[in-house]
Amino acid sequence: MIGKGKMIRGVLTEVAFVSIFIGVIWIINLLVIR
Amino acid sequence: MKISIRDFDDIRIINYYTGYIIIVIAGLMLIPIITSISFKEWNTVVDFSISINISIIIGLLLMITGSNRSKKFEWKHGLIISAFSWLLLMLLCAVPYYLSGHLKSFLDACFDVMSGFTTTGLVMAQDLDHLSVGLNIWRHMLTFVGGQGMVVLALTFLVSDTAGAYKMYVGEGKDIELLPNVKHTTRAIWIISLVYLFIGTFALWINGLFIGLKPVSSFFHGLFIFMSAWSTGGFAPMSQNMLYYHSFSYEILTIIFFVIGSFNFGLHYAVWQGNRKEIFKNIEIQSFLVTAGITTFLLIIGLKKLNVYPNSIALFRKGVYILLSAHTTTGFGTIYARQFALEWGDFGVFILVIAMLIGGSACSTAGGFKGLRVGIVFKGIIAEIRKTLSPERKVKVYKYHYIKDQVLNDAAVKSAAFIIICYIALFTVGTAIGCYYGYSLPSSAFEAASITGNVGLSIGVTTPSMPSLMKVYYIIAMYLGRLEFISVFTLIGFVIGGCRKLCLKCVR
Repeated sequence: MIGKGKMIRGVLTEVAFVSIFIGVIWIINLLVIR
Repeated sequence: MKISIRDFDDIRIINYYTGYIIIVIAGLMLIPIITSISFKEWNTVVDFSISINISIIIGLLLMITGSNRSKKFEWKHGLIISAFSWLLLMLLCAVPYYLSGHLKSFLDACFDVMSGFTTTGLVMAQDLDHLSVGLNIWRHMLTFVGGQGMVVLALTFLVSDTAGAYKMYVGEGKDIELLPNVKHTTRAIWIISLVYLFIGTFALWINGLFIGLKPVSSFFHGLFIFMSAWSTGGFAPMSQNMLYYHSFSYEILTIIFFVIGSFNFGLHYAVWQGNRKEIFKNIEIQSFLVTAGITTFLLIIGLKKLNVYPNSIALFRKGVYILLSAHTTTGFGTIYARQFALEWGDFGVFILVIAMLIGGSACSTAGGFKGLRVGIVFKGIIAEIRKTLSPERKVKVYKYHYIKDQVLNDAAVKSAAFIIICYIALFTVGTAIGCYYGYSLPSSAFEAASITGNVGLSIGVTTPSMPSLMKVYYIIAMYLGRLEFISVFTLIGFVIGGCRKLCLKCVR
């Protein structure tokens, strides 16, 4: 149904997307607190 | 007029499939039984052995008294089966809880089970830190299975795809078809969840080892926390919840898993199929990024004004973590319940209430209004304003992207607005009941939002000593919030209509 390669790329894409989102929130947090 | 067997055709079809779902879920009790045997927790083995027998007997009785061929499977059957099986399962799955002796009453046990099924995460169990491994695995399994859906699980085991499968699937608050066949769709949902279960448990297990947990303990903590995070549940094996771990990396990992868990299964499937652009184009993700960004910004300003947390790391670990946990309807907490009321101020509590009500994505494990509906209503308002401002003869079609481009018509806006109004009504009644019993308005609103959105954060209202009426209302609110009203309304209508028909026939 879903190939292993696609599965790994899919997981990496989602994890990378959320990590960037957390990074942006972290920057907002830093900017506001200063 | 005589009552014939044909009058019970609807009930027979409902009984058959409800019995089938109960037997599948009862089969899950084998996992805590095996775990308890390996940990020599004999009391727990006995509790679960009694419970599995009761569940299988009731499931079989329902299947024997029912039939899957008595009538054509209609929409109402699918909706009623989902709503009815959730209620019955709450009662049956509460038996091992109650027998464990960790709950004051059977009502408390039902509360904990419904909290698990609906991925809420509020707890009535006492002495949580000393629960057996078997019962702990059951609590977290309930929340993991509840996130994906009990009906979804049962449909996964269908030998052949029945005509009614899609109707039951929709009845559980899921509406997206990943594949043309419902059986394959439910299997895809489980594959996605199980792949993440493996990755998430492994990552948290390794992290647990680094923060000083023993290998076996670290594995179970990782497994339990992942199950809760992915299903946006909020249960944790320890009473201090995430505060127990005192680990920034553990918190970051859980944020990643609960945010991904709050995404639509349709989105996961599209991304896994190689359609990576979907993650940026999807209306739910756009809606989530906007609302999460705004609420985070406002909360940080509010907490900074009160000088609650001295530095950016503390602010992120306490404030931002809880905000994202609330917005994704997870309910993991890194502070004690009363700190919301005593330290965060009314503005902080208000922002959390908004975030909890908005919630995660449709067809995901999350609760709340859902980003999809917020996005549709927002776009609907914009479209309405544009229509008013543009020349009368100009006809423009407005669209939104949700797996594919879809036309923003009045029916879509109306349906989204209807569900949002139902959620607000549920939240308002919950707040009113809290105020009636003497809790302050912010506390009542906070807890009502947490219950309605299936979040699980508590300000200290939910305790075993709270009034029974509040417990019953909270159970109903969790149930309605999770199944998104329609199925439950259909069940109520069916029961009232059936009773009325039967009474009329008896009178004649």
